[in-house]
Amino acid sequence: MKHLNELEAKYADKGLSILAVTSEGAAKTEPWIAKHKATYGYAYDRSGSLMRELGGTGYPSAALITPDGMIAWTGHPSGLNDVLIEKALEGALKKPVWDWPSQAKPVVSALAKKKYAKAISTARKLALKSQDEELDAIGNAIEAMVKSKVLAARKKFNEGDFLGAKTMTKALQKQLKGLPEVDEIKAIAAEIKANPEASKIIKAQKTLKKVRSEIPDAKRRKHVDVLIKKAKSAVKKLSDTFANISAEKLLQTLRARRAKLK
Amino acid sequence: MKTPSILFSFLILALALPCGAQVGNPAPTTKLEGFTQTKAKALGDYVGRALVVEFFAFW
Repeated sequence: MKHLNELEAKYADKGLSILAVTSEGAAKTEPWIAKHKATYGYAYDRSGSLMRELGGTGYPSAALITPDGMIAWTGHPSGLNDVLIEKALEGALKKPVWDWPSQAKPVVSALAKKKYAKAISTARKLALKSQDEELDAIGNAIEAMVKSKVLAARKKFNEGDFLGAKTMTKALQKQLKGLPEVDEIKAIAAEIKANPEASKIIKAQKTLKKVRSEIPDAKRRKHVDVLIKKAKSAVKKLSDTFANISAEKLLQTLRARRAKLK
Repeated sequence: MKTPSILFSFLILALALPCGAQVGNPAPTTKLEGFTQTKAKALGDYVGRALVVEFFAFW
């Protein structure tokens, strides 16, 4: 998997980590890693449960996870491109937490719980106490992460992705509690509520999401046809909206699947 | 016997095509073992980083 070495070389300093996962044992894996001069991290999942949980049904398959632990993309590795990666890198930590100084452990713990105010204030307090510039830099990095989350929520709203913006603002109102950025998040949530089109678009987006989740279970053309009908119907009166653009992409996926089935 | 291997590769590719079923949901925190060539010891250690996970087999 030469492409993973290349991805790591290109993006590791920008906040990307690579992890190859196999259900094989070490006896087969280690010679393979050596032979292919793989430099990225790898781990074992003998039961294959992680791949199943990420929706993968065959080898190779891949997933892209955002810095706050959300699934950004899943599919065949050939479909993973720079645009997807660079989007996922927004707000990513340039230095992985395992390279942070040991006294930053409570910061890592707050970060893992998505308690950003606590993470920042703890980093600042520790920096002040120890006069360690690295801890201050960690505080800055988490602040940058928070700002990027707010920008991402605003971007979703501006693009008309009301479901995405609503989901983000709901989560961020809790996660950013105690930080000034929560005001901007509340403002976005209020704008969604005040937008007369938003509720119709959100409803359509939810239907499309449901259709998307049903794709793996559609094993025959007639099943896919039902999904195509549902997707078309969801955006019937919503031309020139984000939902309609999403529906077009979904329909392409459905048609491609349909062509492979009986 | 080139044809069966081509067909097999196509089947694998088709099965692995993106379905996007999980996109937008929190990533699983499944316990993995034997982390190598990384200082991470669990998926949770990648907090704050974007992460590409690739599943591979040798056959």
